[in-house]
Amino acid sequence: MPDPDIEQLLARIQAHLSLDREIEHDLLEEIRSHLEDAAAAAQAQGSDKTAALAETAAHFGLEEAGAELQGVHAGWGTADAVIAAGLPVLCALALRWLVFTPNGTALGWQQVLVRPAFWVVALAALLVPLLKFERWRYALVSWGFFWMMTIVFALGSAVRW
Amino acid sequence: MPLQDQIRKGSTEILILSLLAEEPMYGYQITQELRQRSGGYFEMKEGLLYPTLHRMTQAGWLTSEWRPAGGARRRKYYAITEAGGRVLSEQTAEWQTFAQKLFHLLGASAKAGNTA
Repeated sequence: MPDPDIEQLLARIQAHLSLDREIEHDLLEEIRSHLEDAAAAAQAQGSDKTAALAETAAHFGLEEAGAELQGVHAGWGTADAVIAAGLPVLCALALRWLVFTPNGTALGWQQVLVRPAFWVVALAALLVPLLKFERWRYALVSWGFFWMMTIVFALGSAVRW
Repeated sequence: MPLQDQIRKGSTEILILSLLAEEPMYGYQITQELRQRSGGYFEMKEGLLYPTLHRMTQAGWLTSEWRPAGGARRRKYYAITEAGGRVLSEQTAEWQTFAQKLFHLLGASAKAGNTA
C-alpha cells in the first residue's frame, strides 16, 4: 500500500513531468524507492515521521529533480513512437520495390518467401525497433504491421499497385 | 557558483562510474556511498543524481535493471558497461593529469611568493 506522505512528495516531482506514461511511471517508482529508503533512514536516526519526510524532501530537491528529469527524458517516448509508426511503412515500401514485379503485380507467396531480400526487410522491421527502443512492444507492433502488409500484398496478387 | 560546487559537479560522473566499477548499486545506495566515503565532502542534492544516471545510461555508459526489494517494492540497479569502463579510465587519467599540473603550478607559485 503506497504511503500517502511519500505520494505527496512524488506529486511535487510529477508536477514537472510531461512524459510518455510508461517512462513517467518508471521514474516515479525509482524515486519512490529512494524516498522510502531515505525517510526510513532518518526515522532510524531518531526523527519522527514528519521531520523525516521534511528532511528527505529537503535533501532530495524535489522540484529541481523533476525539472532535470523532464529535460533528460522529454521527446524520447514521442520520437520512439514516430519511428515505430514510420518504420513498418518504410519496410512495406522497400518490400514492394524489392520483391514484387516491376509492373506492380504481387508475386505468389511461395515465391516471396524464398527471396532473401524479403527476409532481410522482415528482420529489419523486427530488429531495428527491438534493439533501438526502450519499449519492446514497439518492435512487435512494427513487425505485426509489416506482416499484415505482406499478407495484403500476397492476397492481392491480381491487383496492380 | 562557488568553486567547490563547480568541482563537485564536474566530478559527479567519474565518481558514479568508479563506484559502479566495484558493483552494481541503486540510486540511494550511490548517494550514501559517496557521502560516507568522502566524509560528507561529496554530498549532493540526491534527486539530481537521477538525471545524471539516466543521461549516462542513454550515453551507453551504464545499464540498469529492476530487482525486488522486499514485498511489492523494486529498486533499479545500475551497472557499468564496457564503454563506461573506458570513459572511467580516460577521465581518471585526465583528473590525475589535472591534479599533477595544478599542484605543480601551485607549488611553483608558492615558492615564487616566498622568495619575492
